[in-house]
Amino acid sequence: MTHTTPTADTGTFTVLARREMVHYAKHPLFLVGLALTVLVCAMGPDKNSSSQFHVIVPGAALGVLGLLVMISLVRRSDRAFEAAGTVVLPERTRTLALASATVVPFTAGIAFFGWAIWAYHDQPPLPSTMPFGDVGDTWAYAIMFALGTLSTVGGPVLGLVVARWLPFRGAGILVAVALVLVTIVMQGLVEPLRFVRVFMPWTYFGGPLGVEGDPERWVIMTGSPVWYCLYVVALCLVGVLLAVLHDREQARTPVLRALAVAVAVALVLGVLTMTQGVQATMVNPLPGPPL
Amino acid sequence: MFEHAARSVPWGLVATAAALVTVLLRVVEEWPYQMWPLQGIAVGLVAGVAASAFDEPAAAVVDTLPRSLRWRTVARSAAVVLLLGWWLLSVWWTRTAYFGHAEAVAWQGCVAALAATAYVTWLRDRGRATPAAAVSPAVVGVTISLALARPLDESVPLFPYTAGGPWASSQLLWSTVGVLALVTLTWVLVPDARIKSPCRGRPLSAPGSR
Repeated sequence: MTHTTPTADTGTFTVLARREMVHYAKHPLFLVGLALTVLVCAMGPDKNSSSQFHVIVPGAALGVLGLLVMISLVRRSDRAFEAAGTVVLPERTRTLALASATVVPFTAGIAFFGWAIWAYHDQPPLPSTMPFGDVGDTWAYAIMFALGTLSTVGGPVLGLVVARWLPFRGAGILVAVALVLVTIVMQGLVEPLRFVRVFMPWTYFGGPLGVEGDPERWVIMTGSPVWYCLYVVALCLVGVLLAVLHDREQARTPVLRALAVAVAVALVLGVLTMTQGVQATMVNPLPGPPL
Repeated sequence: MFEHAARSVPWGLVATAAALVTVLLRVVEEWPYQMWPLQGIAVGLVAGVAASAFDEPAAAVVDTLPRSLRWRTVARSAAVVLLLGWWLLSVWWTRTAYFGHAEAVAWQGCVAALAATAYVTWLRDRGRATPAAAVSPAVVGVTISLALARPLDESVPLFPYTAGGPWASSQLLWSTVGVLALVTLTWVLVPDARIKSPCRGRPLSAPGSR
C-alpha cells in the first residue's frame, strides 16, 4: 500500500507565512495589546525604578494575549483547510507558517526594548532601587529583553502548542489564567522556591521584596538574566517542535530527536541560569524609596 | 429546560473554571498585596466562562425550532447562576483578602458575568452561532492585561487596590456597567421591549420563534 502525504515547497510556505503574519498583525487582540503597551510607555517611566518594571506590560498585553491570538489563528487555519475539502498543505507546514507569524509581536517587543533602554538612561533608576553593587546595566538590559521582548514570542508559541495538543473548548483561557497564576506565585515571594524560580518562562530577578525591619527594601535575587535569555529562546524552540510533532501524517522521528536535543539544551541553560550570576540574595544597603 | 441546560452547557469548562477561581482567590488571601492582580483575573475568568455557556454551535438547526432564543438563554443561564453562586461562596470564604471590600469584589464578578451574558446574547440574536469563541478569550485576555499592567488605575478603577483605593468610584463604574448589561439583555430577550425592524435579527429564525 502506498502512503502519500502532501508536501509544500518553499514558495508556498513563504506565501502562507506572509499571510499568517498579516492575520496576526490585523487580529483585534494583538491590536488591543499593542495599544495598551504604547499607552503605558507613553505615560513614561516610573520615578523610582525607571522602565525596569514596564516589562510586565508587553509580557501580559503581547505575550498572554498573544497566546490567545495564536489559538484563534490556528483554529482559523484549521477551519480554512478543512473547508478546502482536500488537505492541500500538511499540518506541519501550516504550524511552521503560524510560528513564523510571531515575527509580528517580536517586532513590537523589539520596539518596546528600544523604548525601555532609552527610558532607563533618560530617567535612570534611583540608587536605592536596582541595579546596585556589582550588578550593572547589562543585567538590567538582559531582564528587559527576556521579560519584555522574548515574552512576546513565548506567549504565541505556547498558544501554538495549546491549540495543537489541547483542542477542547476553553483550553486557551484556562491555560492563560493558570500560566499567570503559576508565574505570579514563582516571582520569588516564596523563599525556598527563589533558587529554582528561573525555570519559569517569566520571572523577576529583583524588586522591593523587603527585609526584616524594612518592608520596602530592594533586593536582587539569584540567577543570571543573560543565561535566562538563552533559556527562554530554547523554551520557544521546544514549543515550536512540540507543536510540529502533532502532525501524525509526517515522519515524526527526526522531530522527536530534535525535540530531545532542544529539551536537553533548555535544561542545561536553565541550570546555567540558576548557577551563574548572583548566587545569594543581595540586599540594597540604602533604604527603599516610598512606593 | 434543565435537560436542555444539562446537554448544551460546557459543564467541564464551567467546573474547571470554578475550581480555578477558588484557587486564585485563595492565593490572593494568602498574599493580598503581592497577588492582587489575581483578583481581577478571577473576575475576568468568571465573565469569560459565563459567556461560553451561550454558544450554540448548532444554531443553524436550533434557530429554526420552536424553542425561542429567550427560552434557550434562560435554560443556559443555569450555568451562570451556578457559577455566580460558587463565585459568591469563594469570595465569602476568602473574605479577609479584600481590604474590607469583599462585597465590592463579589459585585464585580456578578456584573462582569451579567455583562458578558448580555453581550453574547445580543450577538446570538444578531445571528452569530458561537460568539463566545471570540468574546471569551478577549474578555479573559484583556482582563489579564489590565489587572497586571494597571494602565489607567486612577481614571478607570476597575480593580481598586488596598483599603485606600477608589472603591466608591469603582462600584459606581461597575453598577453602570450592570445597568447597561441589564438593559441590553432585556432589549434582546423581551419581545415588547423594542420595535422590531423587518430587516434585522437572526436570519435563520423561524417566524414567530421569539
